[in-house]
Amino acid sequence: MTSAHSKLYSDDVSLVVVIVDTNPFFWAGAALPFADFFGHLIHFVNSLLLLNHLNQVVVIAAGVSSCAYVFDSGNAAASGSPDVAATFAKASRKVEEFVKQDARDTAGNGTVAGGGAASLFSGALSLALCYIQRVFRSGTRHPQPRILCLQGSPDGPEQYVAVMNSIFSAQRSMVPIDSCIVGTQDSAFLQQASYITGGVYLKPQELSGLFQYLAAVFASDLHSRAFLRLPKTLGVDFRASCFCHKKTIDMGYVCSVCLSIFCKYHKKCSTCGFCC
Amino acid sequence: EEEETGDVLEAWERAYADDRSWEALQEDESGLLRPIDTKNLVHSQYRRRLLAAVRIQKGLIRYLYIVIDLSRAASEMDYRPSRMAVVAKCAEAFIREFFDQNPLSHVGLVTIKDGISHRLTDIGGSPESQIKALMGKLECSGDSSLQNALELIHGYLNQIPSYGHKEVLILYSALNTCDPGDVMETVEKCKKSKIRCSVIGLAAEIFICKHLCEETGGSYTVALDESHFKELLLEHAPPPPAIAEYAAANLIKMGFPQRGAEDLISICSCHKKIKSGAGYICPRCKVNVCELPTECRTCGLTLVSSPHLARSYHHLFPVAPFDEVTFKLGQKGGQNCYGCQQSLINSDSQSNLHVRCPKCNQHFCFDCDIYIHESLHNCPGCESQR
Repeated sequence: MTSAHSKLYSDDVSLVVVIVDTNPFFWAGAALPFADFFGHLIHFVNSLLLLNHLNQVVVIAAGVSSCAYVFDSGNAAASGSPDVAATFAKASRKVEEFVKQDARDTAGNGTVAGGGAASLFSGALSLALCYIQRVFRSGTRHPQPRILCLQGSPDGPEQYVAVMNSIFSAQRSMVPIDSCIVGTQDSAFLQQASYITGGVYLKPQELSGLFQYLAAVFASDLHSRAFLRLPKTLGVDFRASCFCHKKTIDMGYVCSVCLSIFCKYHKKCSTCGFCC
Repeated sequence: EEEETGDVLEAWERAYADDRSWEALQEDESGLLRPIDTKNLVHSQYRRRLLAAVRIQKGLIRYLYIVIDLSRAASEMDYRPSRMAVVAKCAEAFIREFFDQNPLSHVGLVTIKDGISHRLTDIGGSPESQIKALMGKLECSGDSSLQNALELIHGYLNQIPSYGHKEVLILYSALNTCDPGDVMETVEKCKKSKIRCSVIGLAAEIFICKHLCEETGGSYTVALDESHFKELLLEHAPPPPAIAEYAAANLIKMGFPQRGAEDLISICSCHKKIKSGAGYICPRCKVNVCELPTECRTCGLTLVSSPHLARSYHHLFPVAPFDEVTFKLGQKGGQNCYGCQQSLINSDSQSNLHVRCPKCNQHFCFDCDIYIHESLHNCPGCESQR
């Protein structure tokens, strides 16, 4: 649970992978319209690119039926100095295409529940980690990577194992996962992610000032974080929930073979069928 | 930054430091030189390991004793600076990796010196105390005795709960064993108590070690050099296949403590010192403990947090091995690796070999394949679709 600054990397250069939640079910009913939110995000991306000429930003969109890379500053920079308006236009176009394609896929797929559908956060997080591994392989001097998640839709409990695997992999590679909640409820997955990997968890109170929150809290690179006083969470609830009733428990019984958690003692484990 | 703490290489040294280009060449069939394709080599090694590990039940709650041979043979200098130093360093890395992969398991250390074996640390769940004890006493002398070590461990492992898997890992430098009695009897005893013994030899293959491993179902390997030794040692970190009769399946009572309030001042039960806040409260007896996972000293309840259990879930839900595919002409899509967006078309290699997930049909490069199966344990393609 330690913070992740390390002297192996070049100090101020960062690679920020932003995971954007584009769940249409959530954005349809959100207080802040998606277009405004996207505007805040693009201004934030541009400020990151302006902080240091070697900074890189990658944006991954997490939809309801698919995930995709939306923006990579490495591709844009090939043509010369980063042009603010061009970034905005290109990224907007790609996100629009992605959201349309996602909507088409969702309509065609009957299994999506509707109001409470979760975005594919585990998929986007896995893609981000694969990209970061590629950056690690690129040589001895590489930027310090971190992940920023802008999440609005609720957690999907079916993604629990995948999200925890990604969190442990990020912890091993020393990549902090920052979270900014743009929805109404806290996300237990993101609280655990930020706590375990040493990132920052924030739920802004005023979404119309989102850019200010992003620039003040999430724009600082990892080396500078040692000198800054960033928002601290009071404590994460790490209690487990039992497999039979899904309620959080203080004390329970764990099967030694398959590690399923039960609230009452049973003669036989219902997951793996082993008798005691 | 030109100034760095640690090794500072002169500019002329830096040019040669990572670039021993003569080592990256090999001869092909006609005697001409060509560069070694290390990437393909590494990948085919990794695939052999992966396909050998079929989906079988693994023993997740392990009680492992590591036996370090500190006899005369450990002071040999064929491993720089000495066998004992290399073993200690690799054992430290192994203990950290072990607790990373098996958070609910316990490790203890035993040394053999002057023919007598001595328990260095009690079996416990915290890596720091084990490593501190190991680094503290590193001197070698005398003979080594396998029987004494096994007898000692047998006594201790009989006291552990029945759901735990009993394991011994012997890091053996000597070429013989001087025992007070019949070592074959001890091997039989270990076999009857269902203790799985594995040996990693540093010198040469010895019959008694081979016999021990075969009888108890462990693995015997001999290291060729330092990096090979480390590799062999780290292979013991993931849980081994479990033989069903060896450990009883049981529902273990565990507690999931919550963090105490920040301004709470109390005496922590592990260090017996006053601590303010930032500790965990045992749900049964309400004492303060400093870190998890641990066993409450007052009531004996195993205390864990849900991420500790989640660390082992990937053993239960592994990612299916990917299939190797190459490019077909006129194939649309699949130009870039789905995970890292790197181009899969390599102009200078003959075959554009890459991999594809059998479930979601997404294409990945070799590096992502290794990362996904060894560290991430999620297929990004399968997670990114419903």
